[in-house]
Amino acid sequence: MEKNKHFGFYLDQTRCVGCRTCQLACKDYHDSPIGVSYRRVSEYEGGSWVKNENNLLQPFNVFAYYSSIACNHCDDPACTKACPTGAMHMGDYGIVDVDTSKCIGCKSCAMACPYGAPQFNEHTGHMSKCNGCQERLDEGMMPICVDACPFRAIEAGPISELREKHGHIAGVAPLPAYEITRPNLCIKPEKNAQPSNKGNGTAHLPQTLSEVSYDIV
Amino acid sequence: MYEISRRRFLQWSGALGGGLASSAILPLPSIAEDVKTVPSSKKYDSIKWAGCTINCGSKCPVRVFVKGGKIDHIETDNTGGDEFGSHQVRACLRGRSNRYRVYNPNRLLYPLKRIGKRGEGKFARISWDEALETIATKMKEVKEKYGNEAIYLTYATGTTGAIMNRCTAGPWVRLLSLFGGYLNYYNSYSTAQITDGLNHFYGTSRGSDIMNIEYAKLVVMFGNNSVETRMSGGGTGYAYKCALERGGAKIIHIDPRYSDSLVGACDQWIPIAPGTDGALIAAMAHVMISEDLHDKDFLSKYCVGFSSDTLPEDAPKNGSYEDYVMGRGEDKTEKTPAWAESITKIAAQTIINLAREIATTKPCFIAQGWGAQRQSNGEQAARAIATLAAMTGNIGSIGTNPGTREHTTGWIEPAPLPYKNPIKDAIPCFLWTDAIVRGKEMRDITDGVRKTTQLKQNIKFLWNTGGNCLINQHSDANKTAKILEDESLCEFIVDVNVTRTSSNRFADIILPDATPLEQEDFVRSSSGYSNDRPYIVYSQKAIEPLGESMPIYDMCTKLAEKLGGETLKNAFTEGRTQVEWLEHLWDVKFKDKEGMPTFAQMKEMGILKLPRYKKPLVGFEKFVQDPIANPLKTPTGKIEIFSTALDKMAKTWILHEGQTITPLPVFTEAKDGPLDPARKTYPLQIFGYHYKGRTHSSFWESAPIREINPDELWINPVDAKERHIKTGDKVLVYNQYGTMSIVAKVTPKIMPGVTSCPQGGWYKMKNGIDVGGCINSLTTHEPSAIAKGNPQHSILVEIKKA
Repeated sequence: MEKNKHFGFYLDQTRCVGCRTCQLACKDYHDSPIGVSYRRVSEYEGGSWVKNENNLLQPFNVFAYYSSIACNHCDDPACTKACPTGAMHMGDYGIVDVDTSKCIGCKSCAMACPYGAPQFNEHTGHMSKCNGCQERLDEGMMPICVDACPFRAIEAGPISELREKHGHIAGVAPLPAYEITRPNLCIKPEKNAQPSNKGNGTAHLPQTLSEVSYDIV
Repeated sequence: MYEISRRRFLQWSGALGGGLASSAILPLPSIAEDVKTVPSSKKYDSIKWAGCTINCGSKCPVRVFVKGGKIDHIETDNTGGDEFGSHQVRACLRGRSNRYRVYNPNRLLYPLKRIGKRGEGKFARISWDEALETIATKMKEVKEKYGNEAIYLTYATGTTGAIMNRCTAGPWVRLLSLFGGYLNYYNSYSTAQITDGLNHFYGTSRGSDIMNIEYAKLVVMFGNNSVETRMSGGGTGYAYKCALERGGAKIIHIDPRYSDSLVGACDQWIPIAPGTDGALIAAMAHVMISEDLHDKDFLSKYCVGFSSDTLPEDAPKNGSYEDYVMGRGEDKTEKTPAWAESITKIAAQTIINLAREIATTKPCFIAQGWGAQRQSNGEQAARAIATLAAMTGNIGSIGTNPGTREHTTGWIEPAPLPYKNPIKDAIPCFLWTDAIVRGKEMRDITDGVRKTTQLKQNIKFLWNTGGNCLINQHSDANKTAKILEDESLCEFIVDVNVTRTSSNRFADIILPDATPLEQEDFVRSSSGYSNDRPYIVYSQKAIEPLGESMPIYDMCTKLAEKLGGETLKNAFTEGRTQVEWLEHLWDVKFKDKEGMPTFAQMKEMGILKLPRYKKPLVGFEKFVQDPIANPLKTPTGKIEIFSTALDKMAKTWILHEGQTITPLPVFTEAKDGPLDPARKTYPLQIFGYHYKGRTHSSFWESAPIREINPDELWINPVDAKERHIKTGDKVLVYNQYGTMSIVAKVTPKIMPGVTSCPQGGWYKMKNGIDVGGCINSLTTHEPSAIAKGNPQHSILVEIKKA
């Protein structure tokens, strides 16, 4: 894609089954340590169980869907505004990235971003995040997550073209409303998908549940 | 884009059957349109093809990027365009995490010998020479003292799909056969009940290709979850999604949990109490019979025993399925929807609607995964679901599946490494712990021993390779541990693996295996779950084996020399290296086959993808077209809803208390099942599902993959509230077999009264509690009645906050 066009992602929630291949492929390619995931797959689920006339519990509107989200390289990024040193900046393709020579690892960007995109790397002491696999874009390739998806649920490219193809929806629960940071993201919602801030489900990011170590046998 | 219109497709009817593409007179596919995926700014030493050989039922190609002699990262198939039909075989996160497997801190780098008590987990490094010398000496001693029948190679699937580096085939069975043989096993931990059950129904358990969904109007899945169990490119997940998108069939999943196969595509979720599928089917039959909706023509032409007019002569009076359903059979109970509601926990009206919908919608694709059958009464469940397909005549035509698990249209593989085990005696693979304790007592009619009436020996020497069944994946881990710890029972245990595991804690000697990325081999699409587009991968050695690890073929060659000098070594190798064998086995099958590359070409190409079949395999198509000319492999040649063989077995076999064998696919109560009185003490049913972050227990050792797929116990908000449990709480799950600790996830995606956790977590005991989240801390050694299979989904537990 051309450097003066704004880069963005498309997610087809009807195809995303939460396999997390995108997340692992990204981790492997960028050699991210434990605790750092440039792309994250959250679960959103809801519904309830109600008694029928025989006192038998039956499912009522039970649903689940996944959102695989990296950085949306927003038009109005919260992270750059929060960054006290100017390390977090917008560059070619409108891609938001960290200048590690300026980053002091204060995590302000991580706290500001409603998508959880900036990731603190405790080995380097700096923030890190999705840069759209810029060196791949430079040579006409797709980000590694896009080429990895076994279900072809993610696309990337100039956001104007993605929106023309897939529409403008980006505010799907549990993600924030579009207006907050104006993400370069468009989503084909799952049939149960609910709008931002109006969803009646629960979001779940499994990696936050337990710690992992190599102490195994 | 590759497209075939339905009209054009139907004209193809019968053009291509299933089976092997070995006689492929197909044009050699071009891989010239390789899509560029390497930025020129990144410099790699090499990019090599390899395959992921873990047993998820797929076997995906991976490309290994090497820099400075180390694996930099893993990518996947990037050849061809990516339109469905000519799409790339994209590995899932498991395949892509192979780098973490190779460099796992627990990777085995040297042979180890046990220095503590067995099971204590204390080992010391030794040389290959010492390791093999010790093993050879002990093997000769056991052979001398007990005979070759005392040697056993356990069921395992940690490396399958390869030709030379395999768990329980290839070099192992060749070497052990040349040494005088070993005790065989039959069936598997995945499919024992469905295979045996459906062998007594159809004569086989094979079904239709999942691509039939494109031509179906309705899809009904029982415990079938393609997008989690087979989510990778070599599996059925993507095909399932695309077939649904293209065909637009309505889809219903019958499953205790809202699985990921329901996401995006599914129209209806019907939660069912585990182990009660037979009751649901009987009630649906009641509706169909009462409302005259069943396909009587199909039943009378192709089936035995649905109604009394097709019962065999020696069958009991009122012994048909119809008699059973309408309350004319032995139990005098009508199998009404209300009767089934209390057992299945599905509302009677839902059952009525479902029965009407299935009976009046054709074609209907009815399939079962391997979840419903992994029960104490699993054979019955498997046969009952197949009965539904027969009752509605949804067998043998495009868009249907005969109630089995979906099958593949074709696959390619070279010849296997030849071997001939002089010993024929075989046990069901689940009964190896019994064969250690009481092998000599085990008989055909008590324990399903085959090819002999009684075993000659207890197992005294265990080989375990690429496996975690010694403790982790076998039932009742705590009891198994006690059996393995006792050195007077099984006298010697050798474990071969790429990593330390829960299982090799119990070994006397551990040998370090090379990973598929460290050797040359073929990796075939396993069991052909690649659907209608066969492929094969030549694993090009990407890096040198780490430490002193070595491919299985090489260790077997060295062991052959220790066991029988140059003579045995030469008999084993026939003078060939691993690569020379690969060439030989390729040539046996494909030399001069038109359209197939030579071995040298294949080695260079790395991946071979054959064109897509024009028509997906339809199960029992020929039989339905002409049942006289193409009879099934059942005793009557027909679909046996009343099984003549099981009728005989029911009269002759000696069963344990609570077990039953019946000629009809009736609902039977199961030990540790939903109606067991033990439910008063242990009120929740639990079952383990296949997890995205691992295949069985493989990949668990890699922290980066486990980080994003942690072990979670699903519990319904109703059950959680009663126990004051919330998401993130540590809970204890316990029953008469053991206690497991795990983190809870409260979710409406699991039905009340049932709880579930991913199977394959690694057994790790701390103060009498398994803190590894291994569900086999809670399962039983009691086998199912017919197949003597592992009933690992029949479990009752109670849960409390830790």
